[in-house]
Amino acid sequence: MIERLRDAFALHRTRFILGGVALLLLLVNLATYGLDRYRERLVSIDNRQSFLARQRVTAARLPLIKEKLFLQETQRRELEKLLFRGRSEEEISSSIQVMLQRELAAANLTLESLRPRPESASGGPTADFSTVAMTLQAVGPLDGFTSFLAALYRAEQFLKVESFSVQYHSEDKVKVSLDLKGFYRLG
Amino acid sequence: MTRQPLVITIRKDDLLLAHPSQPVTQRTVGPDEEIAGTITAFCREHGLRCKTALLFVSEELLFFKKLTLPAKTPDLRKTIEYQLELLTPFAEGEILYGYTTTRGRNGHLIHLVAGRAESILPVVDRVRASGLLVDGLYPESQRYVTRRNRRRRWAMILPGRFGKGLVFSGLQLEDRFLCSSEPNFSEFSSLTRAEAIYHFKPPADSPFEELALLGTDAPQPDPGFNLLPVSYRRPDYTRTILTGLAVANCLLLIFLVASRFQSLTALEQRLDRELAEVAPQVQEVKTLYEQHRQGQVFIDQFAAVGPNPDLIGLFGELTTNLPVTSYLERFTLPRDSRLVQIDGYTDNIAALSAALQTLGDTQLKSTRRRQDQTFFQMEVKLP
Repeated sequence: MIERLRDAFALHRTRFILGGVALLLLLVNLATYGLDRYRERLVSIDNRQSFLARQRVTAARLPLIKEKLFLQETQRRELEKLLFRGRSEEEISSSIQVMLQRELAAANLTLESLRPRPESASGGPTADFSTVAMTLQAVGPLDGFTSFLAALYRAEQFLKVESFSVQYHSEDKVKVSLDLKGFYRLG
Repeated sequence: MTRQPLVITIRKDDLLLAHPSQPVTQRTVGPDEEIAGTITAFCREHGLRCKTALLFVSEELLFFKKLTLPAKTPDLRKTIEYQLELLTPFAEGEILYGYTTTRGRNGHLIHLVAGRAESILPVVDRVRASGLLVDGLYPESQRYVTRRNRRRRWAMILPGRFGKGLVFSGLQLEDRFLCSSEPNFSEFSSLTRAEAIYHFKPPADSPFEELALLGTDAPQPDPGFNLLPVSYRRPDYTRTILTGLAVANCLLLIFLVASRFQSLTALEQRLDRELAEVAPQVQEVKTLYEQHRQGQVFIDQFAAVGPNPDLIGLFGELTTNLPVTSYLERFTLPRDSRLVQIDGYTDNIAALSAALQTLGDTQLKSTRRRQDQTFFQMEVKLP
């Protein structure tokens, strides 16, 4: 076998040399390719390790975020109780008017007008709730007005007093004008 | 004490033992002499501790042929082996042969050397029986192929019934021819174009160089001319060991590379597994963060609405602190403002001014005297 190889080498020296060079180049290219792949894998592993470390840090925040979410939920539930609920805006507007009239009557105030007021924007496009605005005018004693305000402030649902004016009307009576805003969520 | 192989030249009727580095130190062994004892005595006499022998066959016992085979000859060895009886004058019996090949323009140039086994192998057997290991069996001319002439064209003239002229290019034999008469240096030189010509016994005052000079160097015979049959050759332990080491190195390299890639793969799998384990928790954290963000949006929106103004408290403070002779005609809280505008009148502006100090962030905007009353306008900033 060795002698055959020797004969072949003696006969085809140039071919052997060229073949050897080609083989060497092939080995060098294979080695380069292999080294590149090896480095790529090392970089990939390094990235994966960094990613895993970040994921672990994120996962470690789980108890904290659960606690924060619990507190937020409590706060959110309290706030949501302040919203009016109904199937439509008209229904909610109606229920607000009924409530106001009831409280006005209880405060011995005479209603002159109560009407929904057009609202240019109701909480913005991403708001979790909508608003309905009302303008109320009534006449009655000043202490009746404070009683009405107290009832308004104690109400389960929140009505925001945006503006008001109180002026003398006659004898012991004042004329009250209020701009109110109610907050609601459909459903 | 040298351990170089003993040089033994097989001649037609006898053997010639020669010192490996002192060619003039020779001993002839006759056909009837006992070889083993003679070799032992020769070695002892000249301080040699040879365990191997390099055998050379006198050119007188060999046949030389130069031939050309077609370039497309598929297997030179088989071709030569098949044509051996045609190429050599040895029609019967086993033939020992060796050859070298050179790629030429017209095909493969072959230098073939052959000899009768029956006249050579018995001597080889006797040498082996003496306890020496045989390194190789070469034509006598190969004894003088040394590194001294490896870079030049040179020639030698060997003795015999007809002198033999051999021309070399470095370590490679180029031509061999017989000299029917004693060769003339200038003719031989022009014929061979050799830079140096060695003669086994140079005539006096001739430019030939002494062939024995080359005998002092270690011979570098061409392996192609090794006439020793395969069954006589010693296993090449060095080559076997080197081959084994090379294979072991390759296997070790493959093992190391495979082991490294295996460890990388195992590490990747462990990382993937750990990532898969932590992924649900991370996903839950992300989901909860999103819920928290949305919840916070709602809370922030509600916080932006703000609380109702403390009008009841304001009325209480006004009732408590304003002088009893002060009357309020109008309260106004404009939209998007926290300033309550109050219009009224009093008959004691000094007392009113003093009372304003106790109402907190209050400003008297204007006063106007009319019908014995002082009409005033003030602003109270709600907390």
